[in-house]
Amino acid sequence: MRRQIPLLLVFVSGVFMVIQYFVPSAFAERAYEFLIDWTIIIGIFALALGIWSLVRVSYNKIRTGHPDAMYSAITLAGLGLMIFFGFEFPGVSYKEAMRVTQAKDYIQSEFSGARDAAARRVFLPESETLSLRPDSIKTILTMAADSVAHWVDIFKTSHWFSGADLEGTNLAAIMTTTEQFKSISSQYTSVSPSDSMALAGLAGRVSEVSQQGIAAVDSLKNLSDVYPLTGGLENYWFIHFFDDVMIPIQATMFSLLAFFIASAAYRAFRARSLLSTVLLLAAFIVMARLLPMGPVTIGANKLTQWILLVPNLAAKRAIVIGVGLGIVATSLKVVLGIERSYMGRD
Amino acid sequence: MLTASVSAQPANTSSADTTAQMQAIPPAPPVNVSAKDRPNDNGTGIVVKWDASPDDGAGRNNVVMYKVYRSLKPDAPFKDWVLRGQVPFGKRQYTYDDVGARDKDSKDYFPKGVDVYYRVAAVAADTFSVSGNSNAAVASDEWYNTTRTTVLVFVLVFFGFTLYFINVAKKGKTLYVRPLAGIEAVDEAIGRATEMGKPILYILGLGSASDIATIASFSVLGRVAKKVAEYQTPILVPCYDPIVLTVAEETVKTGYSDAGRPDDYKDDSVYFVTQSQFAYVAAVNGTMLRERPATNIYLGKFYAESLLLAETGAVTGSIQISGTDEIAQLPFFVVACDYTLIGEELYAASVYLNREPILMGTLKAQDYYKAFVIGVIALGLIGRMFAPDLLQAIFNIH
Amino acid sequence: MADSRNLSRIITAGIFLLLVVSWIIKAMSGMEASAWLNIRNGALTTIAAFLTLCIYSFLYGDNPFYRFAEHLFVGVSAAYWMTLGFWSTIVGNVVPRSFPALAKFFKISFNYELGTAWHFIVPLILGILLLMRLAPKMSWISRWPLAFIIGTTAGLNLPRYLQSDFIQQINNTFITLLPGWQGVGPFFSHLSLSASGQLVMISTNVVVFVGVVCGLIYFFFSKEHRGWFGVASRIGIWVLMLTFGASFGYTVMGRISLLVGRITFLFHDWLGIL
Repeated sequence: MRRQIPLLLVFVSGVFMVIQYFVPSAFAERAYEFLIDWTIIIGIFALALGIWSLVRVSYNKIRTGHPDAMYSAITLAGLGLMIFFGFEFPGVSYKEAMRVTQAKDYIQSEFSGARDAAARRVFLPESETLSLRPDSIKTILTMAADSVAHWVDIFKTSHWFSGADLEGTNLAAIMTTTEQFKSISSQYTSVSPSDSMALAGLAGRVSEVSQQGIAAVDSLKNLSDVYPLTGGLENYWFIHFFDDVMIPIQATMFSLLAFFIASAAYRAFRARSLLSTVLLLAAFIVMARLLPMGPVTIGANKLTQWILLVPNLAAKRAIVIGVGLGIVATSLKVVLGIERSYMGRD
Repeated sequence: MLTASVSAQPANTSSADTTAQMQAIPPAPPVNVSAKDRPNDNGTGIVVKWDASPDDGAGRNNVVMYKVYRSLKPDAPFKDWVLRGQVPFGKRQYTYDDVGARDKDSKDYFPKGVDVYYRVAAVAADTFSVSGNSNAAVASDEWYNTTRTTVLVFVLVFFGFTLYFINVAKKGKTLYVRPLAGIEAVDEAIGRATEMGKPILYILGLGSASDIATIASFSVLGRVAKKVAEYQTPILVPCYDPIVLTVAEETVKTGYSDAGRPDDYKDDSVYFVTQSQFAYVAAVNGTMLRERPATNIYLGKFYAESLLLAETGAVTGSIQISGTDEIAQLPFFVVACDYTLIGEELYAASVYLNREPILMGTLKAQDYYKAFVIGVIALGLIGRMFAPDLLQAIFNIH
Repeated sequence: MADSRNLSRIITAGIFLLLVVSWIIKAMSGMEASAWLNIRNGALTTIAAFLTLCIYSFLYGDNPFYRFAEHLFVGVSAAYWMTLGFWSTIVGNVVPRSFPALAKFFKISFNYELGTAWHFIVPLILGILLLMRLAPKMSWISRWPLAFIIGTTAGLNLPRYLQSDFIQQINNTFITLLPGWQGVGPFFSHLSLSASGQLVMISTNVVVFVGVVCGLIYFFFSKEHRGWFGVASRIGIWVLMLTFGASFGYTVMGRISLLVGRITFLFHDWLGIL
């Protein structure tokens, strides 16, 4: 019984996905997207399980006095620090930090959007303007102005920014531009849709005002410059742990490959089996095209091109066909419940 | 205000033309506008067809493009018709696929199940004229995508092969499979580890539990776990993906139970490392240098770190058996490991170790399907020489 | 023995001295306004260089520096991915879409226009079922989300891989063995060795075709590889080895450029020599 339900689940979800491939209906496509999203979300919960395993193993090493106990402590310390910086920091809300960080981008996009909408109206040929009349531009401008005002409020009321931080920023200038937007927008109602010159004039004014607004927005400081101890992904230490601990180690590990590729080639050469000799010969020809040795290089170049074009293509195709077949066969086995080693026993 | 005619008569000039030019004469409108549901979609498309305007390439010869408009009401004023797209001039007959979105909240929402009407405008430099209404068309979704019939046929043929060979295998006939060096070496390698008293390191790769290579690796892990339980050899299984961790734990525990030693299973032998590629490799390399396993088994999906693992293992003197379907990493495994299972051989490994009739049947089905493929390729070559269009139609899948 | 221990002590001390000196120099030559910022940035670069050297010490074998860097990396990266997954997917996407009221209460910024998606309840429940694994009595229920994921992906892969890895590849192999064939006479009269000539094209296509078929024969499990079958299989594995060798040679330059990148960091960004 405990195995039957999971096997049934596998069968039903597998068959559903196979049928979905052949059905172009809207429901099938929606279902496909859902299922992909769900897999990602379940994966995140699984990560919690993984971290629990890591913590448990490290703790056990410390507890039983394993020779590597000190290093396990370092693992736990690194884990703990990153989690500390990545989550709530006392008194500081990550959620609010996200809102405030995005406020600046939103204000900027409102201004550019309004400017672009006004400009498009003038330069479109007549027949295209049926859907973009003056009253709709008015609506766009008014909405943009309201939206900007809303975001500025968020900025002002957030307890991130004290009065001192707001000095030197142009919040006042931004608010003035929104007032100007509103006044320009009301002028749109009195303009005839075919009066290109008037429309061009209004669009020009909208563009001017938007530019002023965008320039004012630039003065709003970035969050990470103002407050180094934000929680969450914006946290200064979180970012720098990533940049200065993870990235250097990662890049260095990757670069170790340069040494290893040489030692691997050397050992394969010493092994002297026929197949590995063929392999190394091909490798050498491909590498030789980079040596500055005149005719040898040119010959190697031509040969490389041939190798990459002919046997390379043939072999890859043969492997891919085999792999594709294997995947299809194993997927079929999984869906039908023949392959159930991943299920375990009761 | 623009005055566009809604009949087949030439329109008057537009008022956008404020300079004192001669009244520009618009081209004749296109004819025979028809619309029908777009096939093999999810109800968001209609195909609009029309014939060229008499002034396209002939007559006044001033057509530059055509614009397609749509409306839900056939008698709505022209300014309410929505522009859907445009095509350049130059042909005798035109086709336009009007495709929208199915999301009601999207700006491009395509109304499904209701009549829609189309008009096509022939556009010259600064004038245009509009055709009459098309027929009413309804966008509907289809329940079967006919372009994917080829895939369906191949799936069904494969299914047929599989069922046939499973039946044959169940009847007790022994099916021959050729020996694979890498798989035979697994038992030998476990024996070596037992003699040396060193652990076995089993790496399931960096794929997720849904990757087929990882699933194949689970099967082999089950067999290996059973053997190490019998011989009482320690096993280490560092995991990259947490879901793979849960399955691996399950698999190894089952192996120990199968060997009759469930209590010998150590919780910390299957453990999670991290989900970062190079951190995982750094940790596994450290483990290799410290624990000095006698045997390293790498079966699953590997990426750039494959050589780091294999080379470190080679330096510490372990026997290494590898298998992956990542073509880019196979060269490194071939060079640095003692045995390598290439692509499909990895998937076959679980069948080799566990010679159940059903599994043997599926392997045979795969083999004969490959022979079928070679036959299809040969037929296709002949077909290409004599009937290329038919071939194109069969293999052109959307 | 004492010599090598002394030597390693001297090397360790030398490296520490170098690190401290480089930190001081970086802090003093920093361009930021405040001293604290300079010290901070200097420390960060020095730490990055220190960790780089720790990893390179792996080439000498296992040692405490490598172990330190390795264990630190494991802890930091595990937490990094968990934090990222939590904030960007769960809090940033799932909660606003399935519980908009809750999200608005916590003032999570999100584009609420996208609409509520109640279906996200399902993976949340499946995720919690997965966590049940930690309770020994209920751990059997953790198989359900597993079954869901594996079943879904298997069903997804089946037709798609059949199409892309199988049917598409077969389609690509339908190359004409005789491109532009006009008869035996013209073939011999226009014989040339140029790359676009008929002879070369035909031989290329023949070789590719033979290579694919022999490769497929190599992967045949049901028949012993003897006689003509064995010959074809040998040709197949040789073609495979040629390809692997070419791949190997091709990646060498890429890997060396990674090394160059790190050396640039060490000598230019950290020591400022280059």
